[in-house]
Amino acid sequence: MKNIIIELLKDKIGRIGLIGVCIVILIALFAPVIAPYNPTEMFPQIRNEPVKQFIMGTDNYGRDVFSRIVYGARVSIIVGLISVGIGASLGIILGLLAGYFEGWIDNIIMRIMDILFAFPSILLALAIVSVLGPDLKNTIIAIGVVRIPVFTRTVRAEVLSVKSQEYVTSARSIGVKDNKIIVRHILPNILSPFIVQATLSLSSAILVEASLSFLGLGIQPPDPSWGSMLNESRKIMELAPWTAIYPAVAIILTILSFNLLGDSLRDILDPKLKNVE
Amino acid sequence: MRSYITRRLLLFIPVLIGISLAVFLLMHLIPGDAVDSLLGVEATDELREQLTKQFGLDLPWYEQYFNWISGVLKGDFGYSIRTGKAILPEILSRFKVTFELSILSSIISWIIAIPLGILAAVKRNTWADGLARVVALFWVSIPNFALVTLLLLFLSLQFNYYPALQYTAFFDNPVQNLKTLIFPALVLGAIMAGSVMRMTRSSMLEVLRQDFIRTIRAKGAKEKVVIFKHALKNSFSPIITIIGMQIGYLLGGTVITEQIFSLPGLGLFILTGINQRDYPVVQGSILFFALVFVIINLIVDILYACIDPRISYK
Repeated sequence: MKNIIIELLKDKIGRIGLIGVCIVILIALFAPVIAPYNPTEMFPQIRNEPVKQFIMGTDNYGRDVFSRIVYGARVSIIVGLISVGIGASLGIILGLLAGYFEGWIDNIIMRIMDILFAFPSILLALAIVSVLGPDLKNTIIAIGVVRIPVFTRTVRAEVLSVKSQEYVTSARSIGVKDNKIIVRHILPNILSPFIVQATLSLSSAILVEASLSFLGLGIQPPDPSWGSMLNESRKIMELAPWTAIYPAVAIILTILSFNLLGDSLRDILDPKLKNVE
Repeated sequence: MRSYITRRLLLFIPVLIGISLAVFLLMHLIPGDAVDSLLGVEATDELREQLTKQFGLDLPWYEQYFNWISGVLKGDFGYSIRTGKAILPEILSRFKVTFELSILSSIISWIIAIPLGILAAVKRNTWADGLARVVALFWVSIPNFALVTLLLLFLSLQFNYYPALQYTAFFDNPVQNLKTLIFPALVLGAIMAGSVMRMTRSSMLEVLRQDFIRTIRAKGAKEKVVIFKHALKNSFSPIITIIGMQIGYLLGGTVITEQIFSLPGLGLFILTGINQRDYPVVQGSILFFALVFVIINLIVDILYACIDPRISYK
């Protein structure tokens, strides 16, 4: 772990990505300390341009844009982490089962994954949210489900290649049990591509959350989400451009940081993946 | 080769059945059924019962699925519970808009991305390469709705320009049609260009490193011939894969783009369906979207095998 961070810091792209990601996480963690106001508090000054009291101005309802951006980081990170957590944990279990046992288990799991893969991710998330109803919890579930096949495929492919290594064969020949082989010998050896996938998944989970909220089907107002802030700003953006610019920049910089970090991690941890997008 | 295509086609059938089951079951997880959402809470029990029967919602789920899927196979996607209109004709007419938008954006992205990717690979590790890579990575990270919002804001504040929002069909008035679609297509295409460029660059690099390229160079072939006749041809299969994957992204992206520009495409149809809780519409359109997506992937796989004969032996 320490080595990975040192390598990351040596790489220019990795360094920028890591710093960006750390900043967003810190903002999310310390939102109540950083934000000057409650993100849903309405002031009488509506569409106030950025001044000392409201450094990013106020929106159509007189809410402080800066405080909403800060709390929006919290929403993005929570949705990103929990949904990728759901997708990754189910994906790793399914991928291990499919790759290790092969045969009919593999067939059933992978055909279900093929079906999930047949839906463009935002569309599948839209369908799930439309069934469950739009709110924070359901947005997380929808994005988590969409990530499952991505992780299952990555893990399965790695398990298949690790499984044929000599140390696994020898462990099996001396009678080590399956679950022990999986946990002791296979799991640690598939972690690198898994970490890369998780970082890149975080950026797409944050992107899907912002898109859903932008369409009015994710986080519901008055709760702050960058996507819904941008959506609300569309009606008034010529009068109050700051209500559009700041959330847009926040989304772009956050996703860019995760992508830079993911790209650099991929080069460090998994050089053979370098040419695969 | 032929057996590969047959195998792919056969594998396609269970996937189709799976997709239709997934869409159907998902829509049936809805808490409270379509009748409740249509009638509201104050309706009489009698009316509710009558509608439940009319929609066939009193049957067990597998019978409902069977009725629905046999209709779909005959081209009957059911009726909208809001407008009472047949769904398939509406899907087809709206898909034309989505399809045109997708094709236009794809072409725009290839025009931008493929030459830039080749340039970056050929001029590897120069400032041109560095610039192209950073711009591409930055570009992949911009959500289309954020880019569109910022662009519209900039255009309206600086040039007082507003893109046309009234959609006209291509065959009614091609000029007006292109005027409406070009802006959304440019945005979607520009965003897609990032990943196509990255893929073009890396697969060109891979090919340029190979022995046969060295041999061709040693034989004294001109650099132009090396790059366009030999290297580019051999780096096409990964590029085609990414283009196939992009179509999925594109179909998802059109949902947002159509909403922003009020284009009457399939994406907007789904969104309206979701907002009006018109489940037959959502169910039918999502099924249609998924079908288009898997068919495109199937075509990509087959093309892939045509370009790279090694595939069929795997």
